[in-house]
Parts: sequence; C-alpha cells; structure tokens
Amino acid sequence: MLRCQNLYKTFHPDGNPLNDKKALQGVSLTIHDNDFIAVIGGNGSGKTTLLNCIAGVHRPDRGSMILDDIDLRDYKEHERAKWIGRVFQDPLQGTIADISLFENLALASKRGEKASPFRWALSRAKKEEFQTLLKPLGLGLEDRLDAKIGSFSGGQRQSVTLLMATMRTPKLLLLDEHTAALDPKTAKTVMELTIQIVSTHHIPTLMITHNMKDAIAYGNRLIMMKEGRIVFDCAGDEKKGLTIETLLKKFAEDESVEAESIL
Amino acid sequence: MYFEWLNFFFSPISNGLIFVLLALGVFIAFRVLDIADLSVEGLFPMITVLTCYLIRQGWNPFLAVLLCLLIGAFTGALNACLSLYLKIPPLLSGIIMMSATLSFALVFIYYNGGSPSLLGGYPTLFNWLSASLIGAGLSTFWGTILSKIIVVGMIVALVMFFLYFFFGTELGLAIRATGKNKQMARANGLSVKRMTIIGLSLSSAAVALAASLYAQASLGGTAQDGQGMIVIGLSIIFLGEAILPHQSFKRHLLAIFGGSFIYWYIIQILMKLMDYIPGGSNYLTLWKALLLVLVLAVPYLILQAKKSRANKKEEENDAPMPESL
Repeated sequence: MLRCQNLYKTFHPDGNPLNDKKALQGVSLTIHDNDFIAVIGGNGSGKTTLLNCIAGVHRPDRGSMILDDIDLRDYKEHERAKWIGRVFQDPLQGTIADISLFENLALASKRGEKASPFRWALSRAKKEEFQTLLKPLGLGLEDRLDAKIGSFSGGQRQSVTLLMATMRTPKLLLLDEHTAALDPKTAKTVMELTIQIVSTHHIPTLMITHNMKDAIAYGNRLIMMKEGRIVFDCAGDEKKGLTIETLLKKFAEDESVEAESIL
Repeated sequence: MYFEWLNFFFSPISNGLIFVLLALGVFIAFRVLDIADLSVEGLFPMITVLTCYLIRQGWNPFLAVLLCLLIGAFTGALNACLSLYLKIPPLLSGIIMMSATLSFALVFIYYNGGSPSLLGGYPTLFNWLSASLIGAGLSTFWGTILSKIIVVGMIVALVMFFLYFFFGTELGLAIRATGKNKQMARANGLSVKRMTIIGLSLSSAAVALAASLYAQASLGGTAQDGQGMIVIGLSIIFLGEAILPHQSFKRHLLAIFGGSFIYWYIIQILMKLMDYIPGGSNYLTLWKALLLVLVLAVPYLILQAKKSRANKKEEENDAPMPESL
C-alpha cells in the first residue's frame, strides 16, 4: 500500500518566480494493494510529476510517501527500483537497444540487488528461466534471446519492458502512458498483457493514460488530475458506470467552476 | 638498409600492442560509458614521466607499472567524481584533469633533472627477457624487439581476457547498461554514479598501463607524449569498427586489437613517405587527423552509397510514371 500525503512540487525553470510551475499542489492519494488506478488529466495537470515523485526522479517540496512501511523519501531513484517497477511512454527508454534481449532481462532479474563482479550476468539456468517467462507472451521472443532489442518493434519492446518491470514482483507498478506510442492494435495487446501480469501477481498499479476509453475499460479506480490536484476519484461500481461523456463533462464542469471563481 | 626495413616491419608491432591498451581505455570511456574523456592527453605523459621517475629512483619496473595502474584508476575516479558530484560537464572535467595531470608531468620531469626523462641503462620490464634472449644467441636487434613483443603481448592478452570476462559479469553488464541508457539503468536499480566511477577508473587505468609500457619501450618520457593520444585512440576504434561492424562485445575487443596494428602500419608507411619531403615529419599530426577523418567518413559514405543504390533500385522497380503533367 502506498500512502501519499499532501505532496507539493514547484519547478523553477529559470529562477524567475513568475515562471514557477506549480506541478503538484497538495496531492493526497492512497493506493491499496488491489488497486489498478488509471490517471487521466490534461497536459501539465501533474500526472507525470506525481509518478516521477513516487519513482524518485523528482523530490517533492513537501509531503510524505510511505510504501508499506518504507519512507520513500529516504531512498534515491535507483534504490526505490527495488520496490517500484516502471514502464515509460517511449519504447526506447525502457530497454537497451544495443545489447541482447537476454542481457536486458538479466539486468532486470537483478533489479534492486547489488551487481556483483564475481557472478556471470548470463547463464544457462537464466536462459531457460527467461524462455519460460517469454513463452506466454506469444510473440516468439523466446527464440530471439540473443537478438539485439534494437531490432524489435515498439510493441515487442514495451512487452519486454513490462516483463522486466514485473519480473521481480514489485510493491508498485508505475505505467507512464506505456501504450501511447503504439498503434491501436499493438496498444490493445500490450494493455491486455498488462492486465494479465498485474492480476496474476496482484501488483498495485498506477497507470497514466491519455486514452479515456482505456481509463474506463481497465482498472478498478479512476483519478482525474487538474492543475496539480486530484479533482475526481472514483472506484468500483461508480467507475464501471462511467462513460466518456460524463468524463468530458467532468473536465468541462471543473473549468467553469474555475472560471466562476476567477470572475 | 636491411635493418632499416626490418625496423620498418617490426616496430609497428610493439607500438600496435601498446596502443591496443590505450584504445581499450578510450573505448571504455567513449563507447561503453559514452563519455568523451579528454584527460587521456594529460594522463598519458604524466604516467610516462612518472614511470621514468620511479625506475630512475630504483623501483622495480613491475611495481612501477602497478603503481601507475593505480594512479590511473584514481585519476579516472576523480574525473568521474568531478562530473557526478560537482555537476561539471564530462567534457570539461576531462579537460580539467588533463590540465592537472599535465602539471604533474612537469613536476616529475623537474625531479628527474629536466626533460626528457631518459631510461637508457635502467632496468625495464623488457630487460631481463632481452638479456636472456641475447644470451641465447639472438642479435641485439632481435632480442630487443622480441622481448618487447612477448612481454607487451602477454600483458595485452591478460588485459583483453580480463575485460572480456569482466564485462560479462553482472557488474560489467550493469556498467554497459548505464552507458547506453541511464534512465533504464536507474529504473532497474543501478547506481549511475557507482557505475560511472568504476567504468572511468578502468578506462584511465588502461590508459596508464599503456603509458607506462610506452615509456619503458621507448626508454623515456616527455611532457609532449600525450599529444594526439585521443586522435590515435579514436582512430584505432573507428578503424576496427570499419573492419568488423555490427559488433558483440567480443568482436569489439578483437576489432580494437586489429585496428591498432593497421593504424600503426599506416602511420609507419606515412612516416616513410615523409622521409622524402624536407621537414616532412612536421606534417605527421596532420596526417593522423586526416586519417581519422577518413576512417570516420568512409564507412558513412559507403553506407550512403548503398542507400542511394537501394533507393534507385526501388525507383526502377516502382516503374516511374511518365511525366503526365
């Protein structure tokens, strides 16, 4: 369970206070162990900043983040990787193109452990282990362990990244628009793979998406962010009843409230 | 005349072997870690002069080499820390280290009683072997050259095996990964700082090893020894890549090995040609620069030519429409 309380984050791009960007303005969010949360919101609403604060890319100015009993603020980004799996929007970012699939997986299989100079990175046992992991993906990758990832398609790379992020079951999975760069058909396949992996390993998941259909179709909970705040949070049956129209209305509704408050 | 030609054919071998080590060092920084480390130009002369100093002080040549290796590793670590902890761009931290180490080269020269620091008559790594080879009936020429080739050859083989195995371990793989994709490295729990420090230490240690052997093979060291070392290292890497493209790590190492010899034979031929021009040797670094341009440009041009040929074929296959406008 991740408990975020009162997260604030302001970016100072050039030191001029007028240009300060208030990315998070008091975000409190509890992610339960059975949660698969879809996060939606416009550009600059703070979705990615929230994810990056949890992952350790940014340090929040204020607020606390407790994962189970771990105070995340005590750990750096690479140290948090032990508990937090991540998949990025850009398929090029999650894997290394110039080395083989086997080597990529070997790295991920050691996530959170100290890399030792006295153990081989690759072994026959690992090869077999990876082949059994790759087979269920149905992409034929189990026969391409020695191929460089650079020769893979975007969908294949995202599937591999997903596998790498969950190979050692994390306490939390962060997905940052991980299907946005894929064509609709591949995106659907990767999305279904995500659901399959997350549900078999019971991984609490936070997924940013721009696709409202996905946000409604997948997961048990939906969060809408706006100007650094969570403006809408629904789960269970209420979420099942959502339609794109109601979501759009929510977006607009909020805008008018703001417009009124300005007037 | 006979000896001149023998020298022509054999001297590039020992140079080629020594510069495999330099190129491996440059390779680790430039290709594995993706850092253009310019400190080489200062580290190299510092180590050649330091080697002379130590040996002239009566150090065992073997211990002198070991110390140089450690100092090289330390320099690399310091260089990495400058950019990692003080946020100095790697290119600049390399230049800073170059400037600092160059100063130490001058200090050691001062202690040696002025430049150049000569090793003639002092024991080197090669002495014992050349002495016993000559004792076994070889001429001085063969004894000297063979002892260099054997000793340096063994060290190069050792280093290449070590690097091959090291970069196959978990730590080695982690360093390679960090150089290629820092975001992925962090997301997989690798400390970019730790990996960069270890990687640059290895890189500079290899360069220091090359410098120490270079001083002992050429029996001296000057503050100018570092000039053009980056160019040489990069030329060897690119030459190797031109010969053996699409590489695995093993092939990378072999390519550097081959590239170094080819490079030194090309230089040898150029120097021979220079002999026929008055003041010709002054153009040597220019030739080296042109060579690097060539090595970089030719694979690119070949690729472009292939592409345009492929495009042309496609166009022909597409049966271009007659101009109907």
